[in-house]
Amino acid sequence: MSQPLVNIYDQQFNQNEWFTIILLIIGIILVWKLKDRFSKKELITYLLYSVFIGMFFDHTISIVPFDYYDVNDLTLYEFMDFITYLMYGPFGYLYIYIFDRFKVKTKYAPIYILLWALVSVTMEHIARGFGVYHYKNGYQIYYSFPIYLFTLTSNLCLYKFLQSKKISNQICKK
Amino acid sequence: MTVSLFAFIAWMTIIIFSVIRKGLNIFENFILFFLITIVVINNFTIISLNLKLIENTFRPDMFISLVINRNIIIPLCILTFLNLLSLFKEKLKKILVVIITLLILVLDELLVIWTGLIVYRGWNIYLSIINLLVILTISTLLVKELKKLS
Repeated sequence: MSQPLVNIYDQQFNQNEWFTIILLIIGIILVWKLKDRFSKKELITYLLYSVFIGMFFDHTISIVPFDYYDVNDLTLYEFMDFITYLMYGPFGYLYIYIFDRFKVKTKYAPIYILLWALVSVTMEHIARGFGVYHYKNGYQIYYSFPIYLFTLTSNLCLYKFLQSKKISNQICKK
Repeated sequence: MTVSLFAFIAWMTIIIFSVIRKGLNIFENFILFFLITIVVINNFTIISLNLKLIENTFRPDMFISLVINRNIIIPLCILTFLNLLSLFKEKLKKILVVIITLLILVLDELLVIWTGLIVYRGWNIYLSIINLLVILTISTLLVKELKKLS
């Protein structure tokens, strides 16, 4: 076994860091301003799920043996990379919030997921332009599309499961 | 063979977690599972990628076993531990749960080494034990904070 090469993309606090920080701040303001629809624990669950799933994929396919991309300035894991994962949380919550707020019917869920997957790929493309992601070893942006389909679908399944548990608990209490 | 072994262990962990009586509610379990996995992933990446104290397998098939271990087996073991710790009131039972969980996690680490998924490069099992104790302590503190949200 040999250790992977460490790539250095830049060494300054610049556009990729600002892009992440600004998006995170926008996300936090959004979550704070949106009317309470869920309990604190539900809110935390939905926020954490997106951070968890983002971290899962990034720490699986962006490290050896796959090593398909690097995040931010270095191949190594930095604090800014962790902030990038935190950025996923509010947008994952927004995805669930809109689904719940507008009572999107289950039969339209595939269209909803597809639209969000397209938005996610677009955001990734923009982020890549700002230097947040650096593709390696033949990785292309369209490889991310099925990953987003999976993460968005699983997020919605989690929401449906938790809502059904809430309803059955309320029925039991009666 | 390694993937089958770890998939089987993951299955057993899931079954055990499913059948035990739980001291935490469903939201607490999900929150803790996500948080524990985030801590474990960060821990794993910093030690192997940044500090280079542990070297991971380069084989994709064996790496899948490592991912199963990191994302299912370890977090679910810890979650089972937290649920049992919340359930038991007697100090002796709590101490027993801590010891058994630590033993299982150490055996898991030894299995990961034995199957060649990782190689220590300046790391050792004693550091792993300390690492696991820190993770278990952080997890226990997270439960206390979560309970305050109720």
